[in-house]
Amino acid sequence: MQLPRFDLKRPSSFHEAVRLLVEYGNAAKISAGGTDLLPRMKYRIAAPATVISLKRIPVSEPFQDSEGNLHVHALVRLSDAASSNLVRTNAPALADAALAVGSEQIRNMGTLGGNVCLEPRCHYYNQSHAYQFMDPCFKRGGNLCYLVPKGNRCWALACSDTVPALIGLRAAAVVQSGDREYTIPVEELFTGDPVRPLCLGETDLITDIVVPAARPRTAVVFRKLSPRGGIDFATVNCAVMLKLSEDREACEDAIIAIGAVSGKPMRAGQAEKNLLGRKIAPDVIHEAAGRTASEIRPSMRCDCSISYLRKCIESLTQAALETAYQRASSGDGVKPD
Amino acid sequence: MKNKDKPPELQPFFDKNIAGDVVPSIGISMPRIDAYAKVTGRERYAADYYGFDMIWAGVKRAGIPHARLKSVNTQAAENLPGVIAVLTHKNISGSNRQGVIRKDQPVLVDDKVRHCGDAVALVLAEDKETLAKAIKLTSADFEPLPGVFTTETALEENAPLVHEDHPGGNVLLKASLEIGSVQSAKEHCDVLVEACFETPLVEHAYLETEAGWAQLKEDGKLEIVASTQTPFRDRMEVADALGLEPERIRMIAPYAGGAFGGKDGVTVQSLLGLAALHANGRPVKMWWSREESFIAGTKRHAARMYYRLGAKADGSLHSLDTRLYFDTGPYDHLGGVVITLALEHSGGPYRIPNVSFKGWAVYTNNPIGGAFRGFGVAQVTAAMEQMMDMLAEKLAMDPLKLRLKNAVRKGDKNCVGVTLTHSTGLVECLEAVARHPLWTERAAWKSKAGPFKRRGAGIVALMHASGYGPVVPDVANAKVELTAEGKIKVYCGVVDMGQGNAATNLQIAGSILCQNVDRIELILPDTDRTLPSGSASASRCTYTFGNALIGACETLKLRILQRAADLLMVDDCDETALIPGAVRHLPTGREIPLHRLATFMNESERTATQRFRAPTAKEIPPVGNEIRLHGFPHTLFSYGAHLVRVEVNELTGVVDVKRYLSVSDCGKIINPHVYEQQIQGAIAQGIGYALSEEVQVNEGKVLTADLATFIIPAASDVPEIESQPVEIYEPSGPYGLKGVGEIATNGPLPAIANAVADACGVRIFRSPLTPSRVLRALRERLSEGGVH
Repeated sequence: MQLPRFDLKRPSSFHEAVRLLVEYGNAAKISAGGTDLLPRMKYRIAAPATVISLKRIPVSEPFQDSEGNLHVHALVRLSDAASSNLVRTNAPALADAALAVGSEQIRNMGTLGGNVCLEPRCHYYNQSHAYQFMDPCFKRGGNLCYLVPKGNRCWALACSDTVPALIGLRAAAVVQSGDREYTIPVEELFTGDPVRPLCLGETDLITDIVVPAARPRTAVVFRKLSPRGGIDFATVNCAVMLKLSEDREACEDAIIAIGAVSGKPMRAGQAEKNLLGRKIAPDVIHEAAGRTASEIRPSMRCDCSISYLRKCIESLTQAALETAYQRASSGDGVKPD
Repeated sequence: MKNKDKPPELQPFFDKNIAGDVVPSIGISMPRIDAYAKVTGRERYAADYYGFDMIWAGVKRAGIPHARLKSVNTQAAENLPGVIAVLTHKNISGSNRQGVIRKDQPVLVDDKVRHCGDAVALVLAEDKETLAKAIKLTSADFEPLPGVFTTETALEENAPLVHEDHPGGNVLLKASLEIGSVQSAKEHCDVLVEACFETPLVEHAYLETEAGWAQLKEDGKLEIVASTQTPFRDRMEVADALGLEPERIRMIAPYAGGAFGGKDGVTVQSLLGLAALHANGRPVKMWWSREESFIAGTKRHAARMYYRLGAKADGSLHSLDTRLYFDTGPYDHLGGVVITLALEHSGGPYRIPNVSFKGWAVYTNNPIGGAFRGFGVAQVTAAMEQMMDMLAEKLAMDPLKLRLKNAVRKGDKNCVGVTLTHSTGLVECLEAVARHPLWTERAAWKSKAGPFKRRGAGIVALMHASGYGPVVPDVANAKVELTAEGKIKVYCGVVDMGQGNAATNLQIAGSILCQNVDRIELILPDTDRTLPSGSASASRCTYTFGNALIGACETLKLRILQRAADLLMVDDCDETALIPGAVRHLPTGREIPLHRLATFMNESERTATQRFRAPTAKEIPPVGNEIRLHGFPHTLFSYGAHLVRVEVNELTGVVDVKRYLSVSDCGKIINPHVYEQQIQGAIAQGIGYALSEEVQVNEGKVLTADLATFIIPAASDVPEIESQPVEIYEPSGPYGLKGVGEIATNGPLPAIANAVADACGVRIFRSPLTPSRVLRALRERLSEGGVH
């Protein structure tokens, strides 16, 4: 399969990239690592006249500021993020999530920022449509959904592995918007509409991810389930954060983030709230996992049933909570798997 | 994935020169002659043919499962600059029909569209981009017809007909066989087990999608290079479809980049031939994309199989009643042959006195069912071997002992009434599994499953026929030549689609003629140069062609030695011997180099040919002639026994295949390395069939037309595989060999299903065993209250 024709721009700074975005507008697409964009272009489901490649922008190593916050450049390769000592020590869930993405080749090209902005996917949309013999779906600008033929919206899934981990870590994205810069929590980046998934302006670019300093008695754990060990997008992924009280028995703070089951990563707000102040025990964890599974509403999809997804959400959450509790209570809350 | 207990059989080689210094011997692992060129990207596959002034050809696919074709609108495409021609059925002067047994598939649709992948128009363009645009601009007017998408609906009384002219309606072929009586099974059997199994439609997913290259030469000859398993049969099919004399067509078959049965028959060939006839002598190339390959290529038949198996209390099998429904899609392709082979194997490798087998190959408007490694046997083995475990459970008998008790031995009649006169090593295979620690120590291993994990072990017994059966001649013609330069040329008539038979041919010729590998040249299948030797299929390649090749090499050897004796003026050629590059007179040590010797021989003397026809069963079981024509029955079988250990995650339903043991009786082995590759590859493919591969089709439209949605196993999904040969000499085989190409594909699905049942106490009758199916079965069992 060949790429369609396009103009290639290679800015050497985010400033220049934003200027190009302003200049070319909708006709341009950003390529960070290209691992998602190029296949879509080959499938002809993305056909930008101009590709703005960010490969020439210098990438700085992850570093910790004076307050202990971890700064990771948006263009850090996923394999580098996964192997960075600083990331592994301070945000092991992020390292685990980065390591769970795609295959080794994809991690060697794909970037953290690119994975955060990953286009929502659908089995039927992310295909060549040359032999599909169907009209364009919502995400291709049409007026139907292959999955829910009578539906009135797109059901593509936000499949990023790093996003749930970043939500669990309460990370924020630094965004370059014209000449100004602003910071937004990663969780608030997403609209939930798979056709227009990001809340960012059309000329905004994520330049850095900032992970707040690790807190005591706190652990963040990432888990992923996928059809094959080697390469696939998640069937479900999950990140949980658990902060224990000083006696290391009760829950002081919790986050349960579930990805790959809907148009944006979901929080299990009720289950989290229910954990607060409670003494962590197997039945409490079991209850939280159960609440999560009934609270999260997975979208329709073709490769497995919603009831299967709920069961997986439950067992994945339970496993993640158990690990998080072990780590938070034993004091080494920040060691990666 | 090598057995750790055995020393490695091969040193790291992958250097052509090292391989070249070897005089091949039979029975040793030799580097494959094709390996170096393939791993370095130098090998030229059909997809690698280009050329000056080349044209791209592509197909407008129907995109509708069942419709009458009213007209094809070519004007818009023809007006596009860069488009050379847009051809329809009107441009075809031959029969416009292809097919191996029943010629029912149009090259370009003339009357009716019968599945979404049907070819409506053929577009020729200067480049690929223009081609894609022109295909888009080509359209057709259809009158949609109601379709049939399941075998059940296709068999209903007033079902729409896929082929109005077929006397059998939507039944392409009904095969049946009855021996003894199953009517009174209830009275005579102490135990009866009944079940219905469903297996999915499966794509071959070869690396090299369907591809080829063609040119009309100045002398009027049509040259077609294609990725195919059947160059000689293709030539006849193309000639008939396009209305050409067969001798006008030259088919060339380079190494195929995988085929597995998907290239057993015409894919691009007729289309390319037609394109070349309209290309003013310019070369034309066609290369299907992965998606096109998914929708237009053939698949493993989806099957629904009803089984009823009865046995005595001591475990001896008494009766088996089966009904097999295979969805053959819109065209015969090889559907009739597949259902016939399935029928023959539906009772497995067991002695069963009373059987009633019925099989239907049913036309539908789904993708085309065709040949796929296993060829119907994969489906019925999945059913029969699960039945055996279900029976063992009901009898409270060890499943391995149950199999041993009923296993066929040499001299037995198998369950379709054929006396097994050739080597029959099933018992030896089963005994090897029974002795293996993976089996004997399974209880301890199972008890060590971690939390939320369940472990199980499953076994299966296998048999697989080789060759074409009684009517269609299973023939190979080998040719070897001493060239004028004193080298050896081996003319291979059978395609090497990756299984390594070309390298084996070289090993055979080199060993008989005592020549280094670098003194031997392989001529790959080419209808102008090599001799007709049948298809690369049916586990027959090395068996049939190897036998012919041994004869040809022995003839040439004798001729060389006799001529050398004459030139050396010695009485008896017994005193001479071939050595690399020369003939030596042993008593005196005098030598005559082969290139000298060759100058004294004329061309006809330097060439030797030999024909071999595979043996057929002499019994005539009670079946119609139609079934015999489709290849029933066989006489030569390979055997095997597999063991698998799995771990099931009871929270997610994921089945993790931990270990795999394969014991096979495929006769004596010529090259252990190539043999091992066949076993390992087949098992990896079988694991995909068992756990994840399923072409999903909705109303005839393929929903999973790529490798992101059709999930084949990756390296990390394939466990350590241990392969043990049971090397029983088969007197009719070359050096005692039998076929190994397919048998191991049939094992993993039933073995894994049996292991999952062993682990969880649930049996899943519909494959693949995806996590959601496994989890649902587990939960249903839990809700019934029957934990463990």
